[in-house]
Amino acid sequence: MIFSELRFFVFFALAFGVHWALRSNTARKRWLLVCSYFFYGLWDWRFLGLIAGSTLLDYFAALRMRSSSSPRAWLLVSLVGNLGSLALFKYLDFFIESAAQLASALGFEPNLHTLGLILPVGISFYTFQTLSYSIDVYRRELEPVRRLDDFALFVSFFPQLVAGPIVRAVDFLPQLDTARVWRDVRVRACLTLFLVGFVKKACVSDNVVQLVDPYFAQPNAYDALGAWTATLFYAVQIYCDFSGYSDMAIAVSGLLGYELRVNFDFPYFAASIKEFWRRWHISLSSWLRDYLYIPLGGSRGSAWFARRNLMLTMLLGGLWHGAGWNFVIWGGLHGLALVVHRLWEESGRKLPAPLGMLLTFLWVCMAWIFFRASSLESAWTSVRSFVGFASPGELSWGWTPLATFAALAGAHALGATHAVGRWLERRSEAAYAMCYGASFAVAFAFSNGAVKPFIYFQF
Amino acid sequence: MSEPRARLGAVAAALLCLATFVGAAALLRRVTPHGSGLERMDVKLDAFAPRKDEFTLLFLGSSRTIRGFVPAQFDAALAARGVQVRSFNLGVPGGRLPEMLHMLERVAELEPQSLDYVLIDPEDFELIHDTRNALAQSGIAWHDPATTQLALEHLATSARDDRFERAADHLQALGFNLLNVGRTSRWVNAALGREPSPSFVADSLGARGDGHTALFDEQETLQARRRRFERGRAEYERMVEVYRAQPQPERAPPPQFLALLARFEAGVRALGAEPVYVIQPALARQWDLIAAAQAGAIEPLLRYDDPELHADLFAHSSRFDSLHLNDVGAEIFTRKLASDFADWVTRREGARK
Repeated sequence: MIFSELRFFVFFALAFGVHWALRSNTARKRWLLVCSYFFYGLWDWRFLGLIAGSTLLDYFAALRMRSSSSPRAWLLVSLVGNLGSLALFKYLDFFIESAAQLASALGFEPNLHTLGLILPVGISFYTFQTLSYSIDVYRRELEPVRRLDDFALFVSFFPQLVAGPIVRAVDFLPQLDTARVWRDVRVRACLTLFLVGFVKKACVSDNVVQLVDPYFAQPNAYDALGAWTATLFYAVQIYCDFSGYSDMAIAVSGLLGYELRVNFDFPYFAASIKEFWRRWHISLSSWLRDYLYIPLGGSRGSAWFARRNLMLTMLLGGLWHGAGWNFVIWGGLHGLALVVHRLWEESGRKLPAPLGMLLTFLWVCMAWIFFRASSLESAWTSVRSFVGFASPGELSWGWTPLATFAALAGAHALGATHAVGRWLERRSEAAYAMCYGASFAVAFAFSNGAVKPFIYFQF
Repeated sequence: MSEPRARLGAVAAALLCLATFVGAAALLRRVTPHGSGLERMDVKLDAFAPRKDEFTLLFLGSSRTIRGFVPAQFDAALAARGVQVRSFNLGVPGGRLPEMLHMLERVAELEPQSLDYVLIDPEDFELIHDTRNALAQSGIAWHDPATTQLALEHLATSARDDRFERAADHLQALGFNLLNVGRTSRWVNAALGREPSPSFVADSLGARGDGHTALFDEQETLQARRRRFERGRAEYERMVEVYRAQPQPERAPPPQFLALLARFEAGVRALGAEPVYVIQPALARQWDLIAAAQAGAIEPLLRYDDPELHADLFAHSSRFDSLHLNDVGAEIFTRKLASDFADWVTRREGARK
């Protein structure tokens, strides 16, 4: 079940109605827990045990960190448990395949078999969430939560369970202590945000995919214009898909009275790659900074040491997205750009912001090719077309889609001014209601009937 | 503001929002074009639209019609009998009776002035529960409340194991229909530079541009199906024997089927044309349609489903597979249909005099 599906509207109406009808905070939280497990179980009920196991492991490990004389051992238990399940379900087959390829390249004939395990949806998100909890408790930045149901709700909270944002315990758990009050809910802001997210996902992402998928299925068949069109629209697709999901998650959570942090801040308007990562998937980039980059040493020590840490963080960040060398290369390209950017900063020179924005966007687009391509060979074909204007084939969509891309960019720039949102905020209740109803009617008409899962569900 | 007053205000705002939504959705439904522009139904209707007043006869159906009915041969055969028609093949792959009704509505919106006859092969009514294409624009389009209700009523009386899944599919398509999901896909596709490829248009319209095509043979999956069929001649002949031996079940046609046929009939007559029902030669029985004809609910029904009467149409050499004719079979079928149709027209004219 995804947020842009009709059945989600029914599910949420029920979850929302019962939530606010209940008086006691405990009853509301337990209701949301039931809803969350139901929501996850709809994907595949067999993995409910996995999320429950992960919850129990970190709940008890954190409690034992306080009561035991060796908290480090309990941290280790949490790390091994969480990273172990991630390694098993997400990476084991990748490592087996890579080992087999390496061995055969070296002239051996290994008899290695992959396990073919199904990747539990959202595992990368909730694993990082529970890991950060254990680490925060170990660092004594957070007290372990005593109520198991509170902790279970933190891990499984349905608005952000399957594709983030990655919520920090320190942000979320305190909100569970007090009953949410309807008066405090910023209803209009949440409704507007949901509509914006819906438009991004259902009207933009699900439509532009029809240019992206055919291209990446056979990049050899298209000319350079086709490659540019597909690459630019993939940048649009993945942004609208993921940030649209995040917008809807934040809105849905907000309507239930729980605030989640912003996850995207118009990243394609970043004037540098460093700024891009402060605006793109903020909950992941800040997680990687706090739990990987800084523990590795961060920017302390020599310049080379800091660059190594940056590179390592981005390579692992790439691997977090998927078990494949294309994701590692994608991370590596971003790491490389960050290192170059740091060198540039150290040189004291400055680029005009529009030029920086353009260069950053083009680099990000080029890196997306590796993220999207079905194989390294096809990625290389696409990069040659995108960077070198090579035309291996003749198929093309002409210039029309690029005009549409420019229109979308204009709309996005208007969105970045928040002018429309502010205008809506100033309307009377009746005027807002009418605008909202009419906008949703238009949004449905522009949405695509073939509901596609969110791209980030696979991570 | 007091709490009860605030709640009242929220309810009023929600109702206003809903009312605006409904109003805007109704307005959008009026101003948006049909289809996505990329489905075969769209390609055929887009080709038909500018020449709508040239044609006097349409044949609605599925892939059986696309392959089996050859307008040029039909027109020539009728001309030889002194009956002048200009026909167009409006078969679409996987076409079901509700989709054909939707197509007829789109034809009616074009206001053709010269239509005299609309032929239809509605196929087995049970096929409307094959919901694989329910979320294509043509699938969403036929799931209006009245037709979906008929489909659900039919499911409720069905013994199918998957009736709940199929009901959910129908309801989702109905939801999409009511919400206008995808109604602007023609505009979206134009903005994205997406248009049907020349080969797709050629596949859809055929060499003469009249909607008949055998070019599906080019598709790899169909070629594989064809090869299997070629190899399995004995198996096919055994299937024909089984088909031939099937007795007609003693059951009345489903009322939902009759309701859709009545809607079709009314739609055709509103165009100033006569409906003609056809069962094409295929190893798939259409007992409901036969029962409807026997009960006097439809007329005329031209049948080509008896392997004894039409051995040439069921001969292995006439078939692409068990459901479709090849070019040889299509020619024989079109000739026979033209002859029977001419007889019916002559009888009808005679009765009128």
